[in-house]
Amino acid sequence: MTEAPVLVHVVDDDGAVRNALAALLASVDLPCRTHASAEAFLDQASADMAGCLLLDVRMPGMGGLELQKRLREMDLTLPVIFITGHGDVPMAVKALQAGAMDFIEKPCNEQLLLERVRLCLDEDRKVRRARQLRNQARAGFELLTPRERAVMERMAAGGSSKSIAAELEIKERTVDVHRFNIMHKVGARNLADLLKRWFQASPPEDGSK
Amino acid sequence: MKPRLAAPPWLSRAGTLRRIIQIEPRRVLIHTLLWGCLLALLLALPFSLYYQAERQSIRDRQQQDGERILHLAAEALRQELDTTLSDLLFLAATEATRAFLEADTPERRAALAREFLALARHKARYDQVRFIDARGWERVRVNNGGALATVVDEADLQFKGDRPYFRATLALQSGQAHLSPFELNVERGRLDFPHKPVLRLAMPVADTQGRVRGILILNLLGQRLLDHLVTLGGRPGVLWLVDKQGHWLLGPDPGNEWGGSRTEGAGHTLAIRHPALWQRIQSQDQGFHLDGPPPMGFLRVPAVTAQHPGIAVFTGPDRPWTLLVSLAGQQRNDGPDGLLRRVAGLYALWTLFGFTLAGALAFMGQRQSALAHIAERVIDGLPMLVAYVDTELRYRFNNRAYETLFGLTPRQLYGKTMAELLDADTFARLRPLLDQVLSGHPAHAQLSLEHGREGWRDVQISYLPDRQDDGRLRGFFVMVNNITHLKEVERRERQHLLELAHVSRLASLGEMAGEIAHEVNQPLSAIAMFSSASLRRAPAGDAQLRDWLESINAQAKRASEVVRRLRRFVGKGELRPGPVDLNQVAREVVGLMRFEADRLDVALTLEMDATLAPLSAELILVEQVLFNLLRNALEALTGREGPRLILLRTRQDAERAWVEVTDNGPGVDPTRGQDIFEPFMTDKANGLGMGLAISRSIVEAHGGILDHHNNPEGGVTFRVGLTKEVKHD
Repeated sequence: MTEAPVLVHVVDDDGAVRNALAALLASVDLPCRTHASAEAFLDQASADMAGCLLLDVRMPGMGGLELQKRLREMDLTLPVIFITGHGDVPMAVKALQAGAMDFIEKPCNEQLLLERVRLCLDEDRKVRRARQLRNQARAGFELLTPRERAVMERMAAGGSSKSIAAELEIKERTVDVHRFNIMHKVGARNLADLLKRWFQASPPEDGSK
Repeated sequence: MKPRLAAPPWLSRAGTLRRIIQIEPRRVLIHTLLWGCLLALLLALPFSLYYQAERQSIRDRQQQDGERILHLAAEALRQELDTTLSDLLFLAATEATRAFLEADTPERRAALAREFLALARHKARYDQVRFIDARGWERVRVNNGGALATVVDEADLQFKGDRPYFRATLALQSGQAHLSPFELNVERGRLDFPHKPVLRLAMPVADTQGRVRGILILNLLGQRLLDHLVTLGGRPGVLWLVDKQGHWLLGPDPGNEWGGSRTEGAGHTLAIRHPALWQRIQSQDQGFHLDGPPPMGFLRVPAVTAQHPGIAVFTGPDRPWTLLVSLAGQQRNDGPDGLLRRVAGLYALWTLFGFTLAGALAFMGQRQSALAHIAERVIDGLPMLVAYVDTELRYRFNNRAYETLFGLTPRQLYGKTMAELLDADTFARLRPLLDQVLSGHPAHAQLSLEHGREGWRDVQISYLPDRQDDGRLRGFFVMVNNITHLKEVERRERQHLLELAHVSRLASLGEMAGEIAHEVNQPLSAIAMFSSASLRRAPAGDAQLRDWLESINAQAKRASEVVRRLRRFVGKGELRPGPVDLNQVAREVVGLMRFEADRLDVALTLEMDATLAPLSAELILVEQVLFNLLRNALEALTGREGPRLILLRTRQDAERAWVEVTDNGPGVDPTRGQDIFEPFMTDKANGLGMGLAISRSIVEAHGGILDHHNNPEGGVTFRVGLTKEVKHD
């Protein structure tokens, strides 16, 4: 899959502030894209966006908090930093509870803002990396036949070839064949690697089961 | 000028008031008896006076009548005796008598008998005409039978020498006559039957030598005389005749008559029957005895008359008879008894009438007093001053409220002038009102006075003129209502409104400051960030440029900090939420706006969800929001024709509690959308455009929603949604 460019998305209704933020980010060579309103951002938003979000809390039309809520509904997991001209405590608490990375008051310490942006980008990178690994692992396990899957599940539960064979009422030899095939399909180098991949791919599925 | 009631008088409220009064029959009865007795007593006086006068006059008349009857009777008696005496004298003087007295010869005796016979035949009232000689023997006797008068044979002549009348007569001098008692005739020792009442008149006769030869005697038949007397009395029993001993010769009861002659009637005397009367008669020749039953007039009749010169002394009892007349009424109803009955009857009739009158009076009096009592109770019970003042400004009536307020009883207040009761300042302030009412026009006013000791500060005064039928002013009614509490409430509401307005202004100011701060902060932020960005790109060697950029950055931050501080100072600051009952808030705000709504003729309706639980919010701010919304709605309706309606509704769903303000005004221009919530956006000529902006700030600060929609049927609904309080453990 093609990687989306890592961008710092700036959403602010005030053009000057928008441009200043862009200039500041550019001064440290952080790529950025500006949006004049929450609605404008939502038009371009897609699930594979990478980077982070700098959000003004108060805007005509949809406010920052509302936008954050919408993004979560869209399963868009960009880290969010709120920037507000007049932040108050309840608003900040609410924003943070809703999953915001930070809540910064204007005018801010630019250095601090940049550090926070970098932290967010790191976070985003980590999240995306984890998601990528999981997707890869999942893709491997998708190839398994139902019988191979049953064997895999029992291996993950710590069963030996013998016990698995007894359980599935097949020969121990057949279990070994299945194991070899599984290793091959998933591309695991050894058992430890296989199990690691399994657990990377599993949690979401377990959660749903 | 008199106000006319639309309803006819029998439908007036006084009629219905009359229905609720209760009259106690006992009281009416007691009053009737009291008044009746009083009237009876009052009536008794004239009736008794009338009775006295009338009785006196009847008595006088009766006495006069009695006197007349007595004198007529006496005259009749006298005449009878006179006539008899004349006849006796005539007989004594006749030739035949003289001759016989000289010599008692048969011829002369016969002549005398003829003489006697002639007299007897002409005078039927003489029963006997006799000559009795000095020895007591009858010598000549004629028995009268009217035309059949006969001379009695010599052989039948009787001896009368033992009779009292003979002896008494023989003892007399010449020229004297004897009258025997009026009695029943006795013949040969026995009473004649039927009874024959007789009077004997006798005189001695002498011959020429003066020797008494015997007596001449006339027996006068009494029945005629008695009948005559009865006629004079009018009816039997009225005129009585009583002899010296008190025996009735003529009396009320024939059975009691002639007690002196008959042995069986000896006990029946006036002296025994009527001792007091008899006593009077003994001491007086004539008079009235009014005490006795029956009241009598009496006259003792003398037997002597002076009209006959030939007779010197008329011997016998001095006043042999007493005539009595009963005054007890010749006619029964004419007497005092009849009068008493008549007067008593009249009196009873009048008394009955009096009692009836008293009953009616007592009933009416009771009703009046019951009515007055009710009116008094109502007036006294009113929590206001009620008085009646005359044209001289003197109190003529005061209710109880005056007593509590001024500490003076209505009795003490009566007659006091208003100037005396009220202090000079108050009186001076009332003067214009008094002038108005005294000119005949009702006067009403609300005044703030220091009134009495109960702390009546604000009073509503009404003076209502009271006119007489001819239109002249008689006085006026005073009604003073204590409206201090009302005024207090009004004052408090106004205070609250002022406070809200103040808060509103402060909030506007804060909001403005906030907005300005925000607007200024934005470019300052931009400057700071631009300068920071520039600094990063500035060549490392250009220290001057870096220094300037740093300065720009620092100054921008400094300016921003000032703005922030300003905003913090005027801004809302921290919320201090408490439990707020949305319904209560809605009601209070509506209460505050009610006056304004009434003034603008807007029907303000409340629709409450009673199940709404209290929310956590800042009371004054929520009030502020509702206040703003309601005021907007009112202002939106001012231009509207037809009914102006505002509905304030509270309701709730799972998440939020809502307050909705719906009007039927022109609604919001759809093209303006959310702009209306922006500061300084206003359609009003003199509005600041902060109301909705502030309201939204407040609602958002509470984590709520403020939005609006135009209704399909016209008008707009603004709604405030506040998060329902989440219960934390």
